[in-house]
Amino acid sequence: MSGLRHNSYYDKKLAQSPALVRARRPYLFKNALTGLALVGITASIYTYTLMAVGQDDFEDVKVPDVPVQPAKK
Amino acid sequence: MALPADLAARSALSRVCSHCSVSFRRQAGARLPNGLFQASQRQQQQRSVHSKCPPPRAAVDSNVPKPAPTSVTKRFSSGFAFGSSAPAPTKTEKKRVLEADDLFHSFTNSPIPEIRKRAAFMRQYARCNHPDHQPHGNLAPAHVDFECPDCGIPVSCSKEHWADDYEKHLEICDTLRQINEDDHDLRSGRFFPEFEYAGPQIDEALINMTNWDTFLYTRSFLAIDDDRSMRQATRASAVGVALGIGDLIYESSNLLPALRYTLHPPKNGGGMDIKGLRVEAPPVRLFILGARAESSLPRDVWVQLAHVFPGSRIHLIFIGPESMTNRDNEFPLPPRTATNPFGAIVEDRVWPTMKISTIVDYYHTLHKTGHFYPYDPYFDCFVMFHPGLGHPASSHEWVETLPMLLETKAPIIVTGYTQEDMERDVAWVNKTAHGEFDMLLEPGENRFRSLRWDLNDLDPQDVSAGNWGVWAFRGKR
Repeated sequence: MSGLRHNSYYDKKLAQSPALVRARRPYLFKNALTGLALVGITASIYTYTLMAVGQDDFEDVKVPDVPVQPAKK
Repeated sequence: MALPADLAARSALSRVCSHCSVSFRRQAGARLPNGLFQASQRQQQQRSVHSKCPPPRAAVDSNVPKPAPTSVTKRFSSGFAFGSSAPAPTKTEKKRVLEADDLFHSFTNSPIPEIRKRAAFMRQYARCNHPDHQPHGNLAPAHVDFECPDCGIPVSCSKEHWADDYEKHLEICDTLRQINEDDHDLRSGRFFPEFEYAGPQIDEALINMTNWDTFLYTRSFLAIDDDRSMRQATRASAVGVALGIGDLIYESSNLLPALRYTLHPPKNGGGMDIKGLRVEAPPVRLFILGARAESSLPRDVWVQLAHVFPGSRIHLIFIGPESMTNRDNEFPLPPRTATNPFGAIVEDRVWPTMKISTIVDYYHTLHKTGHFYPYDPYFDCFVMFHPGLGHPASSHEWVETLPMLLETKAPIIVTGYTQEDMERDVAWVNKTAHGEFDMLLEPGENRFRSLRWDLNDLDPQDVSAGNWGVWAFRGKR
């Protein structure tokens, strides 16, 4: 493995060569699905967390009616 | 297997190019008593010194038709069957004669002399397929004379017949044109990076046998981007031949468990020192029956098989009257002596785990002598590349062989040029040995078939691909 630069499967801009695209073809859809699933699960966990946290109305936090004035000098 | 000194010397000689071999043979003869070590050492010297000489692979000329064919046209394709017409990838001497965008030429007026010769051969032997020339037609058979302007290959006896039968020709015209361009490409003198073979596989990298592309990628071959290069690589280099076997053994892992186990032995913890000494299994013997051009393929191709199965030792045995045809200059057949009763050419330094023997004789002759006895389904396998079992011109040669193959109970792997060819073989085996064999692998398209199409010079309408189909059977237990 001599690194990407010497790998004939990538061109100078590190884009995939047609040979690599062909070699990856059998896995394209499965990989895309897996990627979608991973992103989806992550996104849904984030969303759920945000929603769950957003429900909190902080009723247990006692807020004084009058702002506490800092002691004046 | 003890190897007599003269075999060793011969195997060493066989690697030397024919230009240098005369003087070398004299030297090697003088040193024969020293045997193996000397031979191999000298071989290496010779190879480094004469690295400019093209390797012997190029010497088989595919398209020089020797025997005048009989009326029954045994398949006589330009391609793989009669020699790897792949030119040796020598960078130095070849000059580019055709550019990549200038590959289509009429066969008859081709700038390449070999192709003109082929066209002449076709005009001399191939027949026009027009219905009028059929047995019930009203014209006598005629040779092809008219070249289709679209594919550049002589297909009909006259323009009228070509035009008359044009719809049928149209089915294969594109393929023929592709063949035309590929043939010119092969002789265009360009450098063929696709014939550079990958070296040993590291243990950690698994080989993906899903298809050609994944295989080449996981084996770290150079990337082959172009379709034409891909066709050349899969046909002319014929790694597919080796792979056909490899793939088959993978694919039918539930059917050939014995052989698969032998080819993928578990690591035994052996090493180079005394502690690492282990009992080793005998080599897997692959008998390649009816070998034609396979026996002359560049050894790098066969070594690919050793790279696919690095854990086992492999002994390839090419058997067939047509093996080593046209190679008498490089591989003069050794005399038949008491130590080498069948005049086998042995090349044992192809790769540390691979040895190749070639015997120019019929298999049934060898079988009757018990030369290879005993056979073991764990270690032996028969492979027949395009044997033409059911072909009217060749099936009589297999009648005697088939029962012997079945008797060994070893798996027999057979490939075919086309679906028709393969099915004819299956039908013939079914008829000849009905109920005496088990099908190991149902006939089907080989996923490592040659992607390139080949032309049958005796019948331009007949297009085929090397190792198109594959199936396997063995004698019933």
